[in-house]
Amino acid sequence: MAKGNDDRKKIPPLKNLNLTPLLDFVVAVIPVLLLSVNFLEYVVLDTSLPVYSDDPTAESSIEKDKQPKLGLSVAITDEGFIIAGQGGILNADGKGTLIRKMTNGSYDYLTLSDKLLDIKNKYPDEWSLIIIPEATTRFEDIVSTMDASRERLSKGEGRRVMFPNIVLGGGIL
Amino acid sequence: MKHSSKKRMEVAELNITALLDMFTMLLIFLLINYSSVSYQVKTSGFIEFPKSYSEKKPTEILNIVVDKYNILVDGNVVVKHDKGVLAPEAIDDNGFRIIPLYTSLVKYSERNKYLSSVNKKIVSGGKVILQMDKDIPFYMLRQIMYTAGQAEYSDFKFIAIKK
Repeated sequence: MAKGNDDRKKIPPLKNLNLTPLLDFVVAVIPVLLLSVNFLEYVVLDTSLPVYSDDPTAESSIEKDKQPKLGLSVAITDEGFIIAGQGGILNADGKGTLIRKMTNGSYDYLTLSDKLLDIKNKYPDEWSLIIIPEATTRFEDIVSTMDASRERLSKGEGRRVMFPNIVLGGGIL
Repeated sequence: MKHSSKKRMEVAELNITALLDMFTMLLIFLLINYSSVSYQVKTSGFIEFPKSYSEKKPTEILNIVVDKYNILVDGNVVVKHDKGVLAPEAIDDNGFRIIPLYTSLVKYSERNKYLSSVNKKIVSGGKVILQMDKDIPFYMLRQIMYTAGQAEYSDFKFIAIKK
């Protein structure tokens, strides 16, 4: 019995693991990561002006030979979008197709995207589009129109590139 | 008596396991969202970006910021505006060129040209990032793009928040 008691004394009692150094490390790392994390992801949309400047060195990045043959343009007006092409290619009367605003007053980007997809299917080699906003058009509406024109997202087909070369016009000439 | 004094001497240990669990989860979340993006958008607090489905990432080039009250070039205020309307003396006779913005951009353009002549790794750009408030009207965007075009910056990259 006495021997058994001695053995029990030799076993050290169980202690909690000292987690303090690990906690110190984690607390030091978290602020560093918090400073580096981007909770908002920023993206860019490319565009250029049509040749407008008097200075020949400040020409648009879109080369002259890549200028639209169809001359497709989307005007953003108070009534809605007007899709038109040069020389009555799209509309014989030359007036263009009007896509009216929705009943809640916002622009109908989905219908615009549908119509542009139809045009893209008819003219698959056409890559350029001119967006013509009105003077009071908000920047957000211009960006959304660019989004609806550039590519089409659908569940079945994925990303379908439509008119990636967007030029901003808009009565500046 | 002896037993009770021993009890009083005991030091209470704080159980930090639960705290460490929480920190570990936070650490994993932050590591997942960590990105070493070279381009940092420095917002003034007076700017709301539009949203876009674009996938293209911004790169570090000259920045023009148009917030609700000011136009800034590379972080410095060059001219103030009121809901897209500039003071008449800030605009050229043709109604398009913003004089203080043009002066500032020409300086950057000349500096860029000099740097690219000294170091061929530096490309003499003509590209500019435009950080613009979502409510700014097109007539101001038109003036800014025209002015930048005059200062040999004709390629524009609009900043938006990914949808």
